[in-house]
Amino acid sequence: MNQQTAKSDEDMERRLAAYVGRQYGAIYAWDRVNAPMIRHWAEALDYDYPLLDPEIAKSTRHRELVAPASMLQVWLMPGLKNQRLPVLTCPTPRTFQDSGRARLYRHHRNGLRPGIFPRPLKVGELITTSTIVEKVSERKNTRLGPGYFTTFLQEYHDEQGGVVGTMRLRILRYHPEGQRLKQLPARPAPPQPGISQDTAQFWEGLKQNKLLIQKCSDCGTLIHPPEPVCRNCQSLDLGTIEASGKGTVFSFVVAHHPKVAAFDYPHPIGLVELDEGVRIVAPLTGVDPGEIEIGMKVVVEFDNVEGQNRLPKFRPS
Amino acid sequence: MDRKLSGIASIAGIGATEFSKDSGRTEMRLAVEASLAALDDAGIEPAEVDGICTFTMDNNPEVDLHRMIGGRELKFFTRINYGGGGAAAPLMQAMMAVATGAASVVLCFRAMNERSWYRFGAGTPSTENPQYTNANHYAWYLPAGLNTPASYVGMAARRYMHKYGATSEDYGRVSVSARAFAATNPKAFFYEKPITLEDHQASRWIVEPLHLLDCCQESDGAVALIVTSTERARKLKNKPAVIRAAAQGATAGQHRMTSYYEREDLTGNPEMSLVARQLWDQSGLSPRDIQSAIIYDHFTPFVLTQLEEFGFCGRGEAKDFLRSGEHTRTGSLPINPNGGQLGEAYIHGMNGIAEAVRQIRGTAVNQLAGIENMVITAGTGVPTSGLILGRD
Repeated sequence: MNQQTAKSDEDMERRLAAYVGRQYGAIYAWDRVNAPMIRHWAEALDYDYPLLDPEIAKSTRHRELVAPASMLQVWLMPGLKNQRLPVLTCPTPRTFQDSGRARLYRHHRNGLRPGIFPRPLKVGELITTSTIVEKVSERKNTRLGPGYFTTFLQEYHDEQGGVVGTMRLRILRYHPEGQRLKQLPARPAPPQPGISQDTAQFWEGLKQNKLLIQKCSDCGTLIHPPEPVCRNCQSLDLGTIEASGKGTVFSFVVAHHPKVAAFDYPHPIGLVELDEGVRIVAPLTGVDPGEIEIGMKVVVEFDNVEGQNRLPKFRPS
Repeated sequence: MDRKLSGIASIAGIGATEFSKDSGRTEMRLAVEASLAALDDAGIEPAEVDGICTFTMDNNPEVDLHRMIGGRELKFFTRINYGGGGAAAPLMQAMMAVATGAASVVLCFRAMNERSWYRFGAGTPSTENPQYTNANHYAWYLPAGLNTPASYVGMAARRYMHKYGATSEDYGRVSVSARAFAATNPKAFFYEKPITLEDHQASRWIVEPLHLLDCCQESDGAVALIVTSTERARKLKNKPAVIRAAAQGATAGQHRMTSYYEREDLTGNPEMSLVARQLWDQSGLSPRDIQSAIIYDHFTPFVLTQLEEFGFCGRGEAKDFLRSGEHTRTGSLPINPNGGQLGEAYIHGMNGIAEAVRQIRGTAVNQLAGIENMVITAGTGVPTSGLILGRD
């Protein structure tokens, strides 16, 4: 963050703090509570509102059509042209509008707690609303970007000033600079093996999903990890055989720390004794770390990630 | 067995810096401070140092240290491979140099900022030329996520538990005893911070079956030791700690820290067995002649196997030895009375050698009664080394 931005943020914080506890409004509804809007709203939501039937309405304790409580905000909506009735007792502070400095901040509606509706609205009533800024958080670093959680208390009043509804809104105003953080980086590759002329055949075999074990052409000794010479007879004439891929867990650990980005933790790693008789270290997969036991039968499979050496791992068979 | 090396050389001086997590000065300076302190302790002039030995992973060149302490002629300098496994080997080198006349005053040292400059236990990088044997070696572990000494030891520890019925609590008993000694050693990092077995069990996993409290700490600090002839040592300021025996060991199927492949099982330290046999042979001593031991405790599981390799208890019986508390302050063989590397500091075994010298002199903070001979071991799971030090 450059110095100028930091200064602006500080300025923003100071201005936001100044609004806390003050009331803004009132905003007047375009229209009085009326039956056609109730019907259109119910139709739009595919809501079979029973009180639209005058007979049913009469049978309720209200004795007449009343607006559904969940319509409360609808009466105060600015409409398609986003305009308000130009009767404002006090303008909404521009800090909270998408203009000026605030354009750097986007909205994210963080929470809307259930409203409280002391009484239903009757046809013919005129509603106003006003807003109290209850709380502005300190600057928070969120996944969307740095910003401020602002809690508003909205009150809805009738013409006598009586409260007909309250609602709390929490809005995150954030700077979108953090947006790119949402994209998780691709998982890094495991540490890649150092491959030499003595060991290349093993890694080449993996490319074809083959687990190749070095075998002395003279005395038949199987050797893993591969080496430049047979340790049994010192022959330099060495070949490979393809392992069945079946084996047994000879020992294992479950790694927790330090973590390598390539793996999920806890990360179980086995020392697997292949049926052919040699041992190999490889991750264990497809098994809960708590279920692994020495002697467990396993079978090889191959990790195949574009551009990386193919690596073996073992799962219970 | 030819015993002509036994008793010829002695440790005449010991020196150390404080042990911390951030020394605030260079490793070279730590080496200089510890070396000068050891020479002062011995009562030998720095200009007399004509041999220097250390072991790998130390970043301080011998010639720089020699120059800085005011050395004149350096006739013998060696650096033993395999990190902590080499801890006792410089003493073997020094002993042989003194016995043959190759050098007369040999400085052995270790100086590292292994906590503040780097994280010694953070795993092994694989940045070398892939054709090198070393890089090839790591190819069999790092891609699988087996990347720390704790994980290498864990593989063997699991097998040991499986075979002998040892438990994580048995490993914990090693830590609890070490921390009890450290709690009464003001130089220990964990001075006045004892732990219980419950603390050990509740500590987080590092690599199952190893908890955090199965792993020694990472420390900044330095230790230096001065070796000269026993004949000369007798005339110096402090009582000599006589080198009764010193040996190295690597055995069939040996890999660096992952000898998983050619050995029948992973439930022992055959390289330490080889060291032990040589030490008994060279010194003419046996387990019953030993009153206390410094058993390398980078990770608790290999303390059990080492006790077995030296014959302090039978194969697979170390768990019973620990359960009856034989390794504690009041046991038959108190081990690591300085608090060990688990409790005092991890100076790769060198602080343990210095503790053995103090015990033999009778000047240790946790002084044990009747110390005549002590076994000291170096890092395990790797090609290793060991010593027997005794009273003159």
